[in-house]
Amino acid sequence: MAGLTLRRLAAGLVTLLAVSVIVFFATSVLPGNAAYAILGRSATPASVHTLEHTLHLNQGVLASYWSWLNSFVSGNPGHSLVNGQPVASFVSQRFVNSAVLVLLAGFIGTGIGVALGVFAAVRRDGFFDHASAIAALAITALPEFVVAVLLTFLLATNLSHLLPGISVLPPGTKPWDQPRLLVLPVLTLVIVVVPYLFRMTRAGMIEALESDYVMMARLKGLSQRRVIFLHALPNVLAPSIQVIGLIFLYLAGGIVVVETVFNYPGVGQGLVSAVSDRDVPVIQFLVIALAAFYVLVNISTDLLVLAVTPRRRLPR
Amino acid sequence: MTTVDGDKQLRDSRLTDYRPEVLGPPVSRRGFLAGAGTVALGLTLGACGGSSSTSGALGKPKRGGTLTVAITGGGSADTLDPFKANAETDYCRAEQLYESLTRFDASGQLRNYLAEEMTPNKTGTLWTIRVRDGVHFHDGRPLTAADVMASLRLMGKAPSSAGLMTPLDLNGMKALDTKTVSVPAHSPLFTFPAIVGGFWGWVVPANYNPARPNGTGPFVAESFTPGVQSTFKRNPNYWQSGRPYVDKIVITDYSDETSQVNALTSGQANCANDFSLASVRVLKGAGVKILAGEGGVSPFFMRVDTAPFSDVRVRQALKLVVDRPQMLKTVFGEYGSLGNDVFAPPFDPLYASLPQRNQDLAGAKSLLRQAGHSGLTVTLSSSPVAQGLVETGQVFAQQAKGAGINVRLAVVPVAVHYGPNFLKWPFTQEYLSYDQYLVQVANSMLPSGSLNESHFANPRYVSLYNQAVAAADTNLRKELAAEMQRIEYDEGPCIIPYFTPTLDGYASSVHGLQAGKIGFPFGQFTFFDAWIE
Repeated sequence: MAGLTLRRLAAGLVTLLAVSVIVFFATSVLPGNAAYAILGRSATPASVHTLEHTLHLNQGVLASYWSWLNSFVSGNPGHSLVNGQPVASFVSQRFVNSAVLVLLAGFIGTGIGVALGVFAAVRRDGFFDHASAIAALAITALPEFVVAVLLTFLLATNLSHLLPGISVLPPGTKPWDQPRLLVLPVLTLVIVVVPYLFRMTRAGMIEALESDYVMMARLKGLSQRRVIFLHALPNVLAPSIQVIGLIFLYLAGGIVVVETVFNYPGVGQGLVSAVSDRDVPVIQFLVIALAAFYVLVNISTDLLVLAVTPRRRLPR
Repeated sequence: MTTVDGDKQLRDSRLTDYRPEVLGPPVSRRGFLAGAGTVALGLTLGACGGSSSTSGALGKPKRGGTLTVAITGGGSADTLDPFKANAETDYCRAEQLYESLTRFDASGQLRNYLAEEMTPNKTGTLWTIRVRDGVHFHDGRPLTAADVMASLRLMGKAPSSAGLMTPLDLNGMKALDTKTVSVPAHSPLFTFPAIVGGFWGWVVPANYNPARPNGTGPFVAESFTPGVQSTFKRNPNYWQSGRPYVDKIVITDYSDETSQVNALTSGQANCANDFSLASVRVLKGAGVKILAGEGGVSPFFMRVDTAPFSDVRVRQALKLVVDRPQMLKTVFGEYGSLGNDVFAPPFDPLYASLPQRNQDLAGAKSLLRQAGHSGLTVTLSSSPVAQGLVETGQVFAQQAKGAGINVRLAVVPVAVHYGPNFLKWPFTQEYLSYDQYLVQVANSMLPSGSLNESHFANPRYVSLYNQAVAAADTNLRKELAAEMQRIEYDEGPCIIPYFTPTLDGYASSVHGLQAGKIGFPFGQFTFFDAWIE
């Protein structure tokens, strides 16, 4: 396992490098640069030229990538081109904000999805099973922002005013200091994520409940609860873990929409703004952080699957 | 300095009277405090006080509370340096912290503001500026001549105003006393007061440091995170004594209109800027009030040095395809007013009335036939720079079909519109806030202008402009400006179908807001008169 982990981490580093190269060159192909973003309407050729010089934007693409890579690897991710603040501190708060959303939505969604899946599988073909199947399909078909807007309509602006319609975290406050602001964004993400996990768990659970060892356990006279939770469910875990990993990855990417609708100061908003401004140090930092998250989640799910599947750990 | 003749002409004309007749004669500090109520009221209400454009309630303003303002258009490039202001968020913040020598009132007329008096000599080659008493910066220092000179020098360097300031001899400025500055000019420039009142005109201290905001404005900077939020608290020593009424103003960056609507309807913001017609309907249904301003303009610019727009008949044909009332109604409903392909709106002192242009598809087709461009295809580069721009482009493309013109609409993001191709688009749209006619065209219609997207370079037009800014006699100036407007109307490069409304939303608990006529939200982001119930 240790060897596998190390190999996967090394591969992960190569992935990060590749991502940084691709994104850097993709950004350089976009028209304009940070100088244009800063000067806006006052961008005369002369003023752009001067500002480009100040910001070191007039080197060739390869040279600037190399200098960025050198400073990044030596621990200095640089300063934002458009507001001069150090990249790390500028985006660290956004990371924390987005991480809280992803983790809350991921864990809550996983809990609910698995529970619903087990429940539907146990009461297969019952009323709950049919009703939830239709509901899950309908919800999965809805785009994220539609769910967000519907929730806002129901709970914040039109039918009731139970919750805040916008989740602007004042700078300097931590997300957990303002739990009311987190409810709608997390609820949106949970609703988007649950149906998929629910259907996967249900299918796996049904298969497990039809297996020989479950029939054996029932014949032995074990209680329904023991059969479900100690015999059937662990066998559903392995494929479920893969799905849960995918869900966390999806959340990391899909958070942009939710952050925009609720004006939540997170990584999604930050990245959109940085790309629009062609703020290369910030873009690189955010993209590498997101890629690192993807790599780590992938490695973790693979290791967890190995952990819950003792069979795989035996030598062939 | 001024002869009797010049004085009389200046006194006679309403156009160039920059004496502070609205604010009252120069007063001592005590007298000023006593009259503070009338003073500020006069300034903000100006000549008109239509009830639909104010949120004033009968009743005394209450102190306290926080204005939570939701502004779109900002991002990580947000700055508190007013000379680098670009996005709406930057201007909103700058207007709370800093002020200018002159200012437009609610009816679009230019008034003295920090300047008590701005007087030209007979030929317009020497200006004398005296600033009012009782104005202090946030750090307590009084406003002096040295600060005015430093500010003018910075304006002479800032990209958005440097071009306008070139006729001035900023090196020859002198402080005549602690409150008075003389500013010579290389060439006559009677439009100087309008220049310093534009959205690039700021008064900063002589030891100006952008990292430490220090202005004369109604609010003092407390905290600022670019792209997210800023918090300002009230300036207890503000020169308009008694104002502002609220304790704090929190300006938050919003990424789109829907979240602004949600913020207003769920009570998390009590002011938000620049809504589309659809959002206005939603807001009204939810009990949010609408502040409707005007003065901005959304011209189409055609590059006169590029085929086919280099042929004046093609330009005239494109102006004739527009059904202006239909366009305005589709995009802005009952808001806004019709335009006539000329920059001066009716309230501008130099406005010259011309016959309202209407749609004439037959005339357009005939002109195109003469120019040999029947069945013309053009590409319009549009961008959501302001509300309604892209929708206007769509309506234009639809209407142009009636004259056999095929308009391909290419919508680009705002960052690309102002990117390397800015000032190079052959056929594009823009949004411009209001400034007095000669300053507006100096930017947009002269070869030396910084925003001349059409590359218009008409020698007669330039000559008229040079004469107009040098004309001491305001009647002569009016005549010259009228001829300039005639040129714009006949052969100019712009289609100006309407004057753009600015539609802002605010909670019904907020009073004292005033719509303006310079194409900025909330008048000029004017919050020092606002109070919360």
